[in-house]
Amino acid sequence: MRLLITTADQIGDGQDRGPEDTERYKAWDVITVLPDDHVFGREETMEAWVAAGNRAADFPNGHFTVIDIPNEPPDRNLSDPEPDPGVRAEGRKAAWAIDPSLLTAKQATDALEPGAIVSIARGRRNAVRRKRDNAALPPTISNDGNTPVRPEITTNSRAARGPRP
Amino acid sequence: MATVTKSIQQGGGGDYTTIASWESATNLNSGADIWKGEIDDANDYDETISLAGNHGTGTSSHVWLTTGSTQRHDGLANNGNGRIAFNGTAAFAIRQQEDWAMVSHLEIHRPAGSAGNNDNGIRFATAGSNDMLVSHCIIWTLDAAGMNGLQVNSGSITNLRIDHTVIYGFQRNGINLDVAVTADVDHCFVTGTADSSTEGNLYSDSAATFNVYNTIIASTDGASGNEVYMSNASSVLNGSHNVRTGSAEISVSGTDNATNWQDASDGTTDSAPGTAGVYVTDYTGLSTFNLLPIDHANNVASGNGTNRQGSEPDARQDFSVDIAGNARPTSGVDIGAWQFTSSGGSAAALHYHRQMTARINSQ
Repeated sequence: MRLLITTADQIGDGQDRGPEDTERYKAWDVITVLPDDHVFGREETMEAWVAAGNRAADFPNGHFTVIDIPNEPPDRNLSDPEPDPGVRAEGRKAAWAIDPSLLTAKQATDALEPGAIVSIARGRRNAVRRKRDNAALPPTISNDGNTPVRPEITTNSRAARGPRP
Repeated sequence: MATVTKSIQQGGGGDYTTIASWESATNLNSGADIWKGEIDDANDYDETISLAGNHGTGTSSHVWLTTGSTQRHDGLANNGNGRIAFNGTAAFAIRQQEDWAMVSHLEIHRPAGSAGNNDNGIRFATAGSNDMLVSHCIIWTLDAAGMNGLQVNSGSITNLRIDHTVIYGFQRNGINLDVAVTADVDHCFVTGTADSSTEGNLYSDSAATFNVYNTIIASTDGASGNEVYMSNASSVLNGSHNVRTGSAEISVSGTDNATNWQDASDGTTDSAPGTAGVYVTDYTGLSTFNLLPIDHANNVASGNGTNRQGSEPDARQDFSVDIAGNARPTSGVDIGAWQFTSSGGSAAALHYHRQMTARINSQ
């Protein structure tokens, strides 16, 4: 799977949104999750930007980076916002983030390059952490090493939401 | 001030491939501009989006999610244009939580089974986000759960504007104001089952105000649901020239100033809604749904609206064009999202209902 992340905090709008600042992206937040063969748009990666005939210096989204984890099945929940229950009513803007301390030093440095695509081995997939509780990405391969297991991420189950607030 | 327009194409070739990446780019960059994202292909976008940025200061600086000119719906759902079809479990397809955030010309579908209790097509929430707008959209589901089409969920939101938008199939509320907000509803079509006697197609339990003009409010369940249900003693219903089709039920515990209802039961203009009306027993019961017959001349929505051009609550609204792109006259204004024309007006509306029937039957 390919994770489009931001390596910069979202610019504030001057409004006081409370101590958790839950409506803005923070550095290393996962913005969206995509399959291995995803073709990015011009302003999502430097590679696509330059391929479209643009100057690297003009790339508009210096904070975008793609973390590429080949052969890892994409889990759509990684691009959902933090759900209603749990942290607070409206939740964080992103529910998942990359923990750069769990990348190699080179990977973490490369990820700061504008529009970079940084490939990491599946063995480092635990760098993807759920912000609410720092939980790691659930396994997608069972203990026998062969059987795919659907990730059991239930960040926003219907049952958990309950009745009208 | 400028409009920064970016294309969104799922398969590449545009500026962005997901709505989320476009939205994040808008609020990770600075500038007092209109940050406009256009869906420019015919794909379903299975995403949940939070429009929460840093640009919302007025009509010339805000985020705006829409479709490109080649992908605009013509007032009919499910006709192959690019749209949001969110099939996940998050509580909303779109969450607008930035001042002046705008969504227009979008079809937003929540497929059956994808959502749960109190979920929404669009949710408005956060402290201090004002003046948000939904214009020329189709927001629909056929899900059996207690969903709302639009919901103001929390926060001290003041103004909300909705025009030329069709909201259908939501079985809790079409538009739900859970906080004391003022919602201007113009030229909309809101229909759903409103699944209990304390729910309504237009609903509020707070000191909210609905200003409703030229809107069709059609209950599909005359026995229990309400067309309008406002339970707070400080609630206010204002407006005029609306059509109601339910067997009752305008229930306002506060102040009801609404006038000039068009009663679908007998085609008359009433000072207040009557007690006996025509309601939709189900979407397949088109024989009882006489609001939009082929015979345009005998349709209570036809020509009985009031001209609101020039009185748009928000400068970004344009009441001179209906949901399908047809021009509206200044006299003989039709009630609802569509304006009759000899090609595509009420015929399109009828088509819409037939489409909806077909979908219900296939559930």
